Amino acid sequence: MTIRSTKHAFGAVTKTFHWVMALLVISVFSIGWYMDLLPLGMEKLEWISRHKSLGITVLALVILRVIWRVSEPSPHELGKLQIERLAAKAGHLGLYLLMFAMPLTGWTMSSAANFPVSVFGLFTLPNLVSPNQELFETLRTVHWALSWAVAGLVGVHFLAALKHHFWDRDATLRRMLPGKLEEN
Amino acid sequence: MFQMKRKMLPALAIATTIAGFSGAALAADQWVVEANDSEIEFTGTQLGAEFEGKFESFEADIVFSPDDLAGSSVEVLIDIASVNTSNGDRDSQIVSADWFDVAQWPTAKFATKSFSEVAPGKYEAVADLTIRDVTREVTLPFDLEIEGNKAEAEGTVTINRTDFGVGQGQWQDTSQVGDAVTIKIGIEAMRP
Repeated sequence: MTIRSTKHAFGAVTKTFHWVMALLVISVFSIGWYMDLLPLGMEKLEWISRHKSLGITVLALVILRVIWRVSEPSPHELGKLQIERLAAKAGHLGLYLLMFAMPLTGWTMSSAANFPVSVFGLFTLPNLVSPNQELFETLRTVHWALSWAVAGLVGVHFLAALKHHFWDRDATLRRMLPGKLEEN
Repeated sequence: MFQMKRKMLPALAIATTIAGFSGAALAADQWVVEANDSEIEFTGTQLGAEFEGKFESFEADIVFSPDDLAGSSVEVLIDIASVNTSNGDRDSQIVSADWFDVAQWPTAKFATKSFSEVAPGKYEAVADLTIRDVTREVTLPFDLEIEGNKAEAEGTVTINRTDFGVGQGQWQDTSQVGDAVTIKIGIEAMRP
């Protein structure tokens, strides 16, 4: 497996980004919903800490991922119809935007609530805005609405991968799996 | 050897009176806090990150003179319910039974026991700080500038919230809500 992607195959770095971030996004999403249901207490605060730290990790990784992505070729979409390929591009763009928007709205809403973000207790991020209850409530709603967008798009992404694998029987899913370079 | 003559008595009486007055002038002065320019702020830690808040309402009874530290005293009553951390949810937590329990103990009290000058313009106050039903001695170092009838004092002291029972039950755990709280005072006062 090569480090860099080619026009036909994903490289090791991109595959690693994809799967590590998939795990992270699913974790942060699940923690987010779980912590929201907990009554105020130590346990809730512990999960909020983890949610924030992992969310900022997503932000850091997506920045690196975008830098990496624009510096290497991307394999062609394998959809047969142009509309399919366009939909794939739009879906991926949406996922990238959400990987930025979720942590950024979370960080900003923490700032507005005067609850600065500590990353794994190692360092504290600066507040992006001054404390503002109204802004906090707006951002909380936006963050919540976007979490549904994440669930929706990740669901479509997952189903599309299965559709390519079992229906079209192409390499879309296989070429993202770890292991040897799959030429297509 | 020294024999007082009758005619000296009035002079002595005047001298004594002056000494008496200057003695009174030496006694520490009463100061009135300028509420708008004075603040009691604090920095706590939550989820590993620092946040700031303040108590917006407090009363201070200040008798202070650099020349008469023994006769100086400061008593501050802080209205706990006036807490403001720029977060309504957190403020309502702070006053609840697990934390300050404002229903039982609406005020915290800071009462000095002694002052000492550590350097020109720099002092230390040893005081009893009462939060909830716990009184502990704290030492507050502060800088003081007196110009005419106006005084400005600034000082910082760090206390542990659990020493005062702030955070009951599960909140005695300090991993998510830190133990150390730094209190910063900035007082402006006038001598009437």
